[in-house]
Amino acid sequence: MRSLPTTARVYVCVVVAIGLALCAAAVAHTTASWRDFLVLAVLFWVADSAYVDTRLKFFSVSTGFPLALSAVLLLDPWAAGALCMVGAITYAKARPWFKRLFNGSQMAISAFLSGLLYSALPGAPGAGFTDARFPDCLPAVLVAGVAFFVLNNFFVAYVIKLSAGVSLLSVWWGGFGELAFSTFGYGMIGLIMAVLWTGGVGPVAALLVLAPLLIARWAFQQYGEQHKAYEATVASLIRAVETKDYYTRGHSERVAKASVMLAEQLGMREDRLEMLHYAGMLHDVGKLGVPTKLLQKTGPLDDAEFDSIKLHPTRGVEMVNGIAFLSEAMLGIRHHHERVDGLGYPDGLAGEQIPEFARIIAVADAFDSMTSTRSYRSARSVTAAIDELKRWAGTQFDTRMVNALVEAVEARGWDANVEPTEEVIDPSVLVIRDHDDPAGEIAAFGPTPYQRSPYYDDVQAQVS
Amino acid sequence: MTTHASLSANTLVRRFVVTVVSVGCVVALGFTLARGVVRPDVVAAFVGLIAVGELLQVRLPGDRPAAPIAASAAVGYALLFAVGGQPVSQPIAQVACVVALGVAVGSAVQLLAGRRPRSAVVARRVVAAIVAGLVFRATAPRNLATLRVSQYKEDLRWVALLMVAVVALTGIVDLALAAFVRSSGRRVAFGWMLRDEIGAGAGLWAAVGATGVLMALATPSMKLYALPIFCVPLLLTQFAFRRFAAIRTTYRQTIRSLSRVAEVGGYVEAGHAHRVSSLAVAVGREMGLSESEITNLEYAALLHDIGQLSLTDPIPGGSTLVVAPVERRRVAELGADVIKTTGVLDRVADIVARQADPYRRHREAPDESLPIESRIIKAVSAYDDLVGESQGPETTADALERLRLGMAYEYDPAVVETLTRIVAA
Repeated sequence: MRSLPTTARVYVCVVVAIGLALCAAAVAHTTASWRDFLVLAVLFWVADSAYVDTRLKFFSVSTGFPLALSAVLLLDPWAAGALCMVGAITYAKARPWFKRLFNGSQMAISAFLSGLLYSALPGAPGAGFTDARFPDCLPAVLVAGVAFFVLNNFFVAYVIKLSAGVSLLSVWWGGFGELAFSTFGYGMIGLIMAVLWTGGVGPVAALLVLAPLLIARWAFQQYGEQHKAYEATVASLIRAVETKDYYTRGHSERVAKASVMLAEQLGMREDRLEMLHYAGMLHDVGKLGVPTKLLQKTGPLDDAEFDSIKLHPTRGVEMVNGIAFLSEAMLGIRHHHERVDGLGYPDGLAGEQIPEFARIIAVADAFDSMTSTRSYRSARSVTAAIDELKRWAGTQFDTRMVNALVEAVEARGWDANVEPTEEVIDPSVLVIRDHDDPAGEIAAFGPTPYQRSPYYDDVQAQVS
Repeated sequence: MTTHASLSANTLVRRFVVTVVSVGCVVALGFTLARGVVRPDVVAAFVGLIAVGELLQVRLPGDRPAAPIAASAAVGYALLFAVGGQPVSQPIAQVACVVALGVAVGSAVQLLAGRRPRSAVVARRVVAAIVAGLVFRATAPRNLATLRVSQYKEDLRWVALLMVAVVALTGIVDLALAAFVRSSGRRVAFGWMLRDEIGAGAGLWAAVGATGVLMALATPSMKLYALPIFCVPLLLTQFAFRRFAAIRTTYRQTIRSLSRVAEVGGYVEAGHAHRVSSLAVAVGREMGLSESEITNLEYAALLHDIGQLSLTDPIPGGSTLVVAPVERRRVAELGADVIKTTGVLDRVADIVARQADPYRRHREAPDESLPIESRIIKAVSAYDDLVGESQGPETTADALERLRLGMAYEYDPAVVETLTRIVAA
């Protein structure tokens, strides 16, 4: 609770106070039978405890919503509200108490309000759903369901807005559509449950209703686990690949991280961010096709050698094009050495022709390369690397991407890799053409005075 | 491998099941037409729903296609006893016809779209509906088919419980049939396969069965409006399963792609990992490995040479066969270390770690702890090293002969035998 800003704390307290007051008033006002209330409350508790991490940024899907909706349909608004409170304050020990209390309260208020709305709508069957006629009652049920969902979501989104300092829109953007679809779809189970409950099947209906819900939950969970396994596997295989070159250890992971930071600054959608993460992870996988002796070579590279290094983006795509899921990532891998002035490789694309992913990775790649130690030089500071990126914005890099990375690094900092600096670096060991370093890059195309970076001169000076 | 003797026995069993079901459906159609169709509107709704459901398939682990919406609708129709308060008593022959018709329409559309529906899987859908319908009709109270719903409302909870029991039984029959079809003609015990089948399909069957029961119980009050309303949550479950299937596929594709790193790096001959894995999986299936073991075998086979990445200089030609056993064991251990760092492929790492171990040592009994997957990979990888990309009959025979010579100590005789049968076919 202390971790929340004052406004959020006040908001949470107000919602909880209203929720508790509602429950107290419910005892006096409700007309629902205790038996129905208790059975539904137990079911709601069971279902609601089984919430799932959907990998959406701000939400987890609770399987309790359908049962809460059926409570709205079967009980009066007071009882439905109280039921949500009872269910929510006892579940999921993993969450802090104030979150549970807030969740229970906001659900209670949402259930109560949508229950009031529902009973006022034309076509709504009387209390207990006993004289439900199809399809006459469907519009009222749907409206109540939508109201419940929207209220519930508004309360949650607002607390996120206050505590995380993001706008309501960006909260909803992070997966609201998918959530609305699934919550509302499963809400239909609440309707079916209400129909069967009053149709004579009674509480047995609830058991039948729980089966598909729990199976769906299981599938979501499996997905989540498999997804984690996938990330771990890709990461460690990439690490295995990087063992070939001591100095690029961790490079792929850091490029992935920097690319995602940059893209978040641009407001990229969640699913594309994930794809970009993989593109960053795999961008140099084609280097495996480059003979180890070239990658570890300590002297200057001749043209033929540099040409074979230049093949690595294409090689990389060849290697991963069996992975259908990575379609957009392939473009990022293939073109991450293109330059906005058209002097890059392999296709010499320029400006907007270069796929967005590639323009992002190019910046992240150079940034990490400059802030890491290489066999021929020690790491540059983050500020120096940023200056260098800015210098090359518009010729080598997309200015928009450079600005986004600079903003992201300034806002969130950058944990540069300086691990290998403890090693003794032999100053006589120099590679002039580092394929990721903007200064090294330029050498491949015959530097002209205006393109030559000041750092390039440093390198030259050291050689002589 | 396509004309292998035991595989074709399996095909025969599949064809037999499909033929019996098709003939049964034609007979049922005759009956139904002769006696007149009960409630054609309900028939049309369910045929439509089943047909649409057939188009919306998900793939469960182990290459098992499932169509939850079609399956739920089929079970729902088999148990249906009233629509909108009025009793509906369709004979079991009509149930068979409706499900078969729905399935046929759905499959036809799939064929037009260029997908080949699996006839044995589709036939199972019809069998499940018939089983559920027959058992329910034999056990349900007689007056269910004649009374109005309002007259026995209080007894509905017992009907619901009965339906749950019927569906559970149907699920067992269905999974047993699936296990029978899969195991027949192969060297796999039926009981073994049944356990595998239940592990993979019981969860979805519970959801499908429960939804079928809910459908049958809700139509008396919700009329046919129940059907579209039921589809929504089912579609979502389907969506969840599909995402699950998609990430599994991606995982497999990624392992396949990344298995090539050793080849692209010049450490191993091109295509070696891929050939070894497909041959190893074929051997594993013949030897009756379970679905999860097959997956581990496939991954281990794909990644078995990844340890070579840690070597500074590639082994000439990439073949691990020509180097000393010590070096081979080192590659295996290095590879296992790489795989172990994923944290999720421990079993695969174990298999890779022991791929270089001999079947048995001099004057010792075969090592019981040596995983069967490691023995398969050892033999298959050696075979591929010997044959290479040239698949001529002579090289094949030579390679097999060399493996056979090593059978006493290096290679597991059962694996070499199975490999010989598969390669010879």
